[in-house]
Amino acid sequence: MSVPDEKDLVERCRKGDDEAWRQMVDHLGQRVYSVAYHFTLKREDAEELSQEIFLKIFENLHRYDGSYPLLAWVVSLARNLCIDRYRRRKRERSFRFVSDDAVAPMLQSGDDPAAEALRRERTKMLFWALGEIPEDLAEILVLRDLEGFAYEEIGKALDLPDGTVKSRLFRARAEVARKVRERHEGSGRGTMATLAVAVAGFV
Amino acid sequence: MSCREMERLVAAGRETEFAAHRATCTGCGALGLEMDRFAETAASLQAPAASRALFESLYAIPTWTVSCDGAEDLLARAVDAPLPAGDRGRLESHLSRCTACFEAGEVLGIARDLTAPAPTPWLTAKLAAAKPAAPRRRAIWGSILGPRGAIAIAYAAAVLVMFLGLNPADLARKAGTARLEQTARSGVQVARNTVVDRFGAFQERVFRTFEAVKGRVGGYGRAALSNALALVMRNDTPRRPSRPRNDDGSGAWKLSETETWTWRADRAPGGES
Repeated sequence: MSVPDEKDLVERCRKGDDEAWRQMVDHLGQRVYSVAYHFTLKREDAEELSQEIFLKIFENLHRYDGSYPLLAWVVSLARNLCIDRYRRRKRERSFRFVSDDAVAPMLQSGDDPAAEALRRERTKMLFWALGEIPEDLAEILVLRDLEGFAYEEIGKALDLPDGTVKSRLFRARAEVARKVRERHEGSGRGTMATLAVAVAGFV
Repeated sequence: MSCREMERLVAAGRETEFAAHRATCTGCGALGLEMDRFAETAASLQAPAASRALFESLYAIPTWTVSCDGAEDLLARAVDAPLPAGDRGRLESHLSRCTACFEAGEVLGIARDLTAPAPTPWLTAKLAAAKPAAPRRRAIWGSILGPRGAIAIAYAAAVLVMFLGLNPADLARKAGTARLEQTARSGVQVARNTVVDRFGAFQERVFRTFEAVKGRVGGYGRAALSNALALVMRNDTPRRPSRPRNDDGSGAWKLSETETWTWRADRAPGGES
């Protein structure tokens, strides 16, 4: 699919051109759904969030002035909706129990089952850690590492300077790593304690 | 296990220095390894595919709602005539989510439902006074029967009565003047025998006639003035007299009467009301 002239596309959508709107959905639909899924980790919630985001896009087309990429504008528009979902998930502690089904749509099937299982566990750990870090760090990590947005696009979407985007992203990665290590260490201690109890039981 | 150096470099966003630091610091080295591993994991993830059903539902958005631009048009059209069911549904769907358009619709609705406010009385009077006065034709009977007309008629009647001699006080004066004239006339007749006396009698008659006329005019004037004052200052309510006082010149109240004395108009000193 060729990349349409975004400003012209928006103008046509504003004038009620249904074909232009279909082009807009085709152009952005997959990216929006992907962002929504990374913030919700649930297909139904992601579809609902995607509809909300596109509804907001449709109703706010008059606000787009073409000064920066349409996708960045869409992210800035969808930001509050995504953060709301993210907070809800944190409140419901859904990140604590990331299921295999939740990460399955993101994993490529490989020939090596052991490597696949390891990748699945790490992916689950990644999303657990995303639920543990502050939301301003989590959103930047999702946009950069999971969605592949450029620094400039993230800066425009979140209204931040490039330097701040970079440092915040670095902090986000470090926080995720720290959370994962702490969890590993905790589970290690837990395993040792269980082993000690078992040994004591035998003795 | 935390490294202050790592925190400082991370907060400052100095990735290069952090890379150098992690090579020498055991804790930060392990953390950096973990970061690399999860960056690799994140990069290997593929975007979850959106379903066809989702795309179909997204295509259909314009069929059940409108944009803010469209809402403006529909709101403007709704002021004049009811919208078709389809447009009304799309507009309502939009207004249920868009606060700005909802407020715009409310304002338009209020503007349509407003009725012309009634001006306050003071404003009406002010506007009437500000208008150029049209030439007014006063009804003759209206001016005659008005308060000023009634007062003028009363005065005219009083003056007429006085000049016609129907006022008792005036009649009494006229009688007195007539007697004076009669006396003057008789006096002149007694002294009519000589020229000197006749001249003196003429002189005396002129003087007395002048005095009589002067007295009559003065009497009429005073009577008119007193009648006019009486008409204006007439008050049917008798004034309450002052309370009785002792006769010893001290001005003190008569104590024995103070307690029992009550004033009644029909028993007031000086007559009835």
